[in-house]
Amino acid sequence: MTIPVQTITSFRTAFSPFSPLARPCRIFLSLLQNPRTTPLSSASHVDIKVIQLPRNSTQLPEMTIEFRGGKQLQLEVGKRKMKIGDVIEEVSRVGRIIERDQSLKG
Amino acid sequence: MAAIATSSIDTSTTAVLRHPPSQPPSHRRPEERRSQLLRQYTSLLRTAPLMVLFQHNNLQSVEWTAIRRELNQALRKADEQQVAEGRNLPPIASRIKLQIVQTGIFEVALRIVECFRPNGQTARLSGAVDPPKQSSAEIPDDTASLTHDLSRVVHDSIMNHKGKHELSTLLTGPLAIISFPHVSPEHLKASLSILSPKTTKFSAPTRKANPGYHDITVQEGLQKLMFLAARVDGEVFDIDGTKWIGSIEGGMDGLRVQLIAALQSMGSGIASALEGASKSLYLTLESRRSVLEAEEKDTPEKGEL
Repeated sequence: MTIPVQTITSFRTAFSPFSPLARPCRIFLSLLQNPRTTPLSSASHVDIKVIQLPRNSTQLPEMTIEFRGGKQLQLEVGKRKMKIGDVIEEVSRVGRIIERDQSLKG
Repeated sequence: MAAIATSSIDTSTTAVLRHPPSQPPSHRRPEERRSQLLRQYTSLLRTAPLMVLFQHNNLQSVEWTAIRRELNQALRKADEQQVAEGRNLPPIASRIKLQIVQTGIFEVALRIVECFRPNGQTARLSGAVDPPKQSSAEIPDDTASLTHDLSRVVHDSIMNHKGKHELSTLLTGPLAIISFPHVSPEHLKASLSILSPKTTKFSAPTRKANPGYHDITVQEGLQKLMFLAARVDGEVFDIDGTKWIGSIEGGMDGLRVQLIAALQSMGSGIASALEGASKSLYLTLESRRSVLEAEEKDTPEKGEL
């Protein structure tokens, strides 16, 4: 399943890399951050903000994704014990709806 | 050491070694890239006491080149500064490497280095046979006694240790490692000020001092690098620990000087505490004595008057 990265405008996440629950956050970050999304001048630029929590922090990892058109998706990765597959599924679902709407609009 | 069958000797009674002595049998084929990488990573883990782990997200080769250029510049400056301070340390800028590692193979290498202990097993061949002598001695199958990194013994013993190391949760996703041949806080600080100035709060070079650093290639590449942790002498340090190590002034020598000073002051503190009781008693008695003498002087004078 591919993520429609061009529909994502912003990605915010907070996790501690020492927590095994944070694995989806790190992998999703590697999927989103690439030479097309990093430059500010790019058409498919994604504003990425990562907060690294301290090692013994009890705060569970979470991520917030903003799409084109203002839709926001908040995923509590740690609370729901999500895996990377679940994350990709949810993000892709929302992204594809937006993509379809945009292609219909013109 | 090896007894190799030759055509001049009757082969039926000569002991035969089934593999060349320089190529012991391995669990995986040694010529494959993954086996070579495993050996490289075990060597790296054993010889580099300090290494910092980063996540790299789709950096381009141009960006890697640019980052390595800036890093080398900063490390050479750290070397020069050490020489200028007059400390007799070897220059290590050329031996510090920033490399991408294959995470899965690296995880196995970590398990081998940290978990496996040969328990006194040696890989020597027993009963070495002199080639010209004919004998019925058989060189025993020594596969079970071989404990090199690619051997079956090592593979079987670390197979069930997956995910048990402190560092194993960090070993997911794309990984890059910068390795130092010695634990050198100055070089660590120099490299972190280039690679992750925002997370470690070590100040990056200014635009005037180093305009090449603020080049768009370098900056975009650095945005895609994320600091994870550091491994120092087998211990895992997070961001705060790494900041502390980098901020040690004067390097390892400075740390030793600080330790000696702390021990000495602790010693003097104990001594003064022990002496303190008797000292205060002495001072009290002395002051009492002086007061009594003063009174005696007064009373005879009053008496005379």
